Amino acid sequence: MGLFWRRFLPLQIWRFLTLNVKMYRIARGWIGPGQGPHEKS
Amino acid sequence: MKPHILILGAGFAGHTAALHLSYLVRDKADVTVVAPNNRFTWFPSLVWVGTGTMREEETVFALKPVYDKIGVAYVDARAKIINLGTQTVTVEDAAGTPSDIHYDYLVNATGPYLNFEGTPGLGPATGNTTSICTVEHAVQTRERYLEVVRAAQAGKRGRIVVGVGHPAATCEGAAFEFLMNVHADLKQRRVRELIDLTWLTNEPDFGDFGVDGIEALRGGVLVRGASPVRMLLDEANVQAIAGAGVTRVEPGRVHYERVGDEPGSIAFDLAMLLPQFRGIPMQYIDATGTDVTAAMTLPSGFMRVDADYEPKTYEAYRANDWPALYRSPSHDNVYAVGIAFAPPHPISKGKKTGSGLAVVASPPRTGMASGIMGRTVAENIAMQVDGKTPNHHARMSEMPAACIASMGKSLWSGSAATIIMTPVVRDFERFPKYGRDVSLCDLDVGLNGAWTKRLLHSAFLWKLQAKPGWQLIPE
Repeated sequence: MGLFWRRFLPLQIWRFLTLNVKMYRIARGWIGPGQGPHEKS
Repeated sequence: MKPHILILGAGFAGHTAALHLSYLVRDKADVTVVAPNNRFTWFPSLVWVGTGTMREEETVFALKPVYDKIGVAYVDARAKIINLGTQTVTVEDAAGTPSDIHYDYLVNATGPYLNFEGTPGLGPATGNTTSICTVEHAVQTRERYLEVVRAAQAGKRGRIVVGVGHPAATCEGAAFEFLMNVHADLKQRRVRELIDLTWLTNEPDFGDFGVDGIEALRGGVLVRGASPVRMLLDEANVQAIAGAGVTRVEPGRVHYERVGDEPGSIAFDLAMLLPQFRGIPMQYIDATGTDVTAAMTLPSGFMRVDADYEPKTYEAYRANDWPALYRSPSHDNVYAVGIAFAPPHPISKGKKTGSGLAVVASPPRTGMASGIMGRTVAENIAMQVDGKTPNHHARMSEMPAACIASMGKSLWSGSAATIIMTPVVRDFERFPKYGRDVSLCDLDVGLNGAWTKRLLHSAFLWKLQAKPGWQLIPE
């Protein structure tokens, strides 16, 4: 990604929101590879 | 009498385990944490302490008030001997006075021993390099760094080398963050053109970070981490050397061997090189009084858990080689988490130099991974306390990781790389093409990462101090 887009405020605000929501959902185990209280794989 | 859960160490893994046990076994068991210095350190922000853009006080907090609040006992000491027969741990306080603490369940979360002596001339105490592995090291690095900056401001050219100081070191991501923060800070101080920056890493390729690389889909096209990392290094005008195993450091000069190339050396005014990590030296004694340290640990000093330690080649690595419960195979009430557990093998592909020196980035298992392990072990011990069979598992091959690599602290002109891996260790049985769910993996560079890094700094210091709502913040 070019330097302009790495500083372009609307895109950065959008990426901040979407990436943090994604990280939260993955960290909560709502999506993702699935560690958790299951039978040992 | 209530069972006693003893946690050795209060880093990401041990402290997270203590937080979760405080409510999981409330009224059913007693929990004690043994750790030296009564201090938790938020290591991800030490890259900023090292460049003088954050005060060291902002990265630490006292542990005892937190444990008092959540009903966990705290002992300011270091573990020395684990007696598996009597289920006691001999600890030593700061004055060297020993005492024994009984346990019913034991969590070894003692973190790394910083093996500076593994490389001649490495380290801040007796060697010629600095580190950012502890607050004290980061402060020392800052002082040396500011000397180089002052010299540059007076018109003197300087050389800074950043990277890892051992062929089998880990945490290349943290060193890369420091490198990019040095670049950003030098630019801000308007002396960047007077300082030559070198990136010296044992990774087989740039962007490997000890996890066999990173990748993400961009508009349906797979982008691998090596490309953006090379781009960032080029943009920052950094001399970059991959596949390098540092062999020794003289005052002002670091020597290395390199995969597929002749040995080399670089002159420096400041070298921040991370050491190899080993297990904290502890003795393990069985019921007969026999020293069983060799059976309980690998030669690296890390504790054996439920992993497959059969030696194998990179091509034969399997997702299920990695431990699920982090429990000792011989003692079902003893666990090891975070850096303290012995990984079955590297994640990255190791290579050899012309002289036969093995250069391999060791598996990183700090931060989010350590936190998840700490929580998982807490959940399993809570099940055992209830008389159930533990079934929470968190193999690194089924564990996600998010990493924010800072490249400048400023919320206006800073930047960071946001990296999401699902899972950390590739599982080619579940994800045959790439070993990871690339639809969820992400790789982004921009100002938004600088905001996220600051958000995580504040959010996690809130969570780790058990402030209201801390459980809403996941590991």
